[in-house]
Amino acid sequence: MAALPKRIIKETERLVSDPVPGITAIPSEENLRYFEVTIEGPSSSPYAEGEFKLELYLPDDYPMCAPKVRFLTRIYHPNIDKLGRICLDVLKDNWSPALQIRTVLLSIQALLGAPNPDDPLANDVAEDWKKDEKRAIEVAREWTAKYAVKS
Amino acid sequence: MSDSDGNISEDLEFDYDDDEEVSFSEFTADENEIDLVNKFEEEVYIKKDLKKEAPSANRLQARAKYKAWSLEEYINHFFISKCKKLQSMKLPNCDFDDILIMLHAKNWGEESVINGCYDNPTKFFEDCGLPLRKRNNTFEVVKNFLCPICCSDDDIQTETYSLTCNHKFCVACYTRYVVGLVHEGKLITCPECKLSIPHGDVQKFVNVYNEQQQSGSSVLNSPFKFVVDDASKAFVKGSPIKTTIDLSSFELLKYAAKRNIDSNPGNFKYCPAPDCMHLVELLSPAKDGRTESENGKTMDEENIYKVPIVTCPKSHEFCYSCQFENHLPLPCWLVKAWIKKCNDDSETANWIDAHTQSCPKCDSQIEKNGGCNHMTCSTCAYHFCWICLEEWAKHGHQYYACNRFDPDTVNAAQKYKKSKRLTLKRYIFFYSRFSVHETSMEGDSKTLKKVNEKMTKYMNEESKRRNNAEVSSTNSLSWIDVQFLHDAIRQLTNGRKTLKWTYVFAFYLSKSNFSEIFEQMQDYLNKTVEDLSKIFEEIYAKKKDSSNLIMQNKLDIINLSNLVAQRQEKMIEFAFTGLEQKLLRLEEEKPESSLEPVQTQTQGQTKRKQR
Repeated sequence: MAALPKRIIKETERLVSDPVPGITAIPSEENLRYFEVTIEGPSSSPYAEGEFKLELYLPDDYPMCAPKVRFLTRIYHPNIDKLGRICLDVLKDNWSPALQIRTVLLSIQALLGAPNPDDPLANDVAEDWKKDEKRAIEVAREWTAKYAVKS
Repeated sequence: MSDSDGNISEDLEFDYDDDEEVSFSEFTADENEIDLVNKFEEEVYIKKDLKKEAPSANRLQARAKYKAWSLEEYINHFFISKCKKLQSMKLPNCDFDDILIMLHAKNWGEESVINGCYDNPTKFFEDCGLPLRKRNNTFEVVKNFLCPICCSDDDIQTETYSLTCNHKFCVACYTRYVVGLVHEGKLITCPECKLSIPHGDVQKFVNVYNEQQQSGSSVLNSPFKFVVDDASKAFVKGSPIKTTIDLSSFELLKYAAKRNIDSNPGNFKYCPAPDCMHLVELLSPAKDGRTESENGKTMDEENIYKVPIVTCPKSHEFCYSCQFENHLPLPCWLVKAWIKKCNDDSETANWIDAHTQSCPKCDSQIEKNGGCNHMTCSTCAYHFCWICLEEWAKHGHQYYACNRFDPDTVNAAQKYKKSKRLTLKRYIFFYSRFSVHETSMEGDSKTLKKVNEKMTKYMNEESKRRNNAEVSSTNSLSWIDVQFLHDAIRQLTNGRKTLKWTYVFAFYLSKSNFSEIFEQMQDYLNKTVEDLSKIFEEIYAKKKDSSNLIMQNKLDIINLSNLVAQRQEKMIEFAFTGLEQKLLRLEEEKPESSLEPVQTQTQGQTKRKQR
């Protein structure tokens, strides 16, 4: 395997030495481009108290293209689908090499706090969300309690 | 461009000895001040010596006026000239770069730029990613610089670039960043904020990238080391774009133009030739080719037979409506039908229909390749008679003598089969001829190459010989003298192309006296093309002294190629007048079901008889 770019080494060092509150990202031992991530649900959201597992992979041309991130924990959210794929601008068109792993993870945390049913990925969830937000939030809370239990 | 056919054809005749571009620009030179002279290219596609054909084609395309654009002309006309216009209007606090960015941000709408500049300049500048204070894009060599993108902090001098926002990144990262985005054709911003990078600077990054690619040290392969070379030194002296630089060659503007055309094509169409980036704009009131081919027959007759052949600035000739090669004399909707027919397996189905019967019980297709008429279906094990398709048991014990023989039924069934077989044969007949010419055209392009080599050799020998003989005029036989060969091969290719399509034409042609004349003419054209082809073949086959053979046959070649051109022209003209005056009729194939009712009817009758 090619040598790990300095940028990734630096970022990893910083993630360990100066972690973001509520977020952990640990590189895999076999592949330093693969990270096991956990994100705590924002306190004001239906995902509060939950701890969500994600995986993050830095492609070969990182940082010229965005990292690939996916939820491993099931989550009831209009912008995250069954397979855990995330609809977030900075992971797609709005990626810029000036962004980092930490900023991306913070954006994902922010997405949990502010679901956007008008730009949905999981259509059924988004529809429920639009029809009856209270009920949807209730379901999200139930799912969080069911799947995203802190270990 | 003139409406009168006479003028154009006259021009073309007179221009015959001139270079092709001259007459070509006459076709298109309305209000287009930009030089259209393009480099001569050798491709099969090329329309080099079609002038003989052009008058008739032009007469038929009288309604298809067009203008050929190169991508550069498009950029100049739609982007740069607007920019210059706005610059002359002296918008407050804007230089050329700013205006270009504004126009790009506002999708090249002059109005919105003017309005934005005057209504709410602060917000407008922000929208476009322009700094409010004076622009201060800097290129600097910094010691011990830590680039936030690549994080390499080697103890060397690092070249950096930053916009007015002063977000510095190393040139290597900036280059990769810009090159990765340029193909989207959108404004490129600073990686950190929303400020736009001026087009000139984008181009500098692209140049740096290209030079690195050429010198072999790819930025992408060795991503974290930027070699200080001349390219980047040129970069240091970076200054705002001067209008003298050829803006239309800017990569970002090219992609922006493409995006603009893709999202808003109007009457513009790309040339379909591979790697050709040029455009053609139809000027006559848009009779869109698409509606034409979709409702083929419902359109009025006049339009159906209109084939708008256009030529792009690189001399590629194509049909505007279907973006296919020049398919005269066949109208577009039949080209579409033909290609569909060749691609799909409708003929396979025809074959199955003609040579098999389906099992009366389970409908599996059965081909009888011998043996008696007592059939046992291998799928459902049903026993039946191949002749009457009834259950075998009904035949009692009189094997091999179908006692239910009814001449009507059998005749009808056989007729049906026969007609199927005929349709198939007919298709194969025309298709094989069509494809033969298609492959020959490929062969011609190879011949062209070979002939080029041979001629070069010949010219060298000739000049040597002359030198030895110490003739004062060393090169009395000039390249112009052998130009006839190229012309002849091109004419051959063109003739073949037309011939190829006449076979499809004939396939769809309903039979009449005039169709026989058509076939006669086709025959003539075919013969001439083959004769010409034969000469080339002989030259090609002869290993030694072929150059002399070429010169010996010069007159024949010229005569034959002229004959091809004439017959080709006559052919196309005949086809069109025939269609226009309804002497020739083209039809898509009749739906095959029309034959079937006959059969079922007779079957019904027999059934009644049986009862």
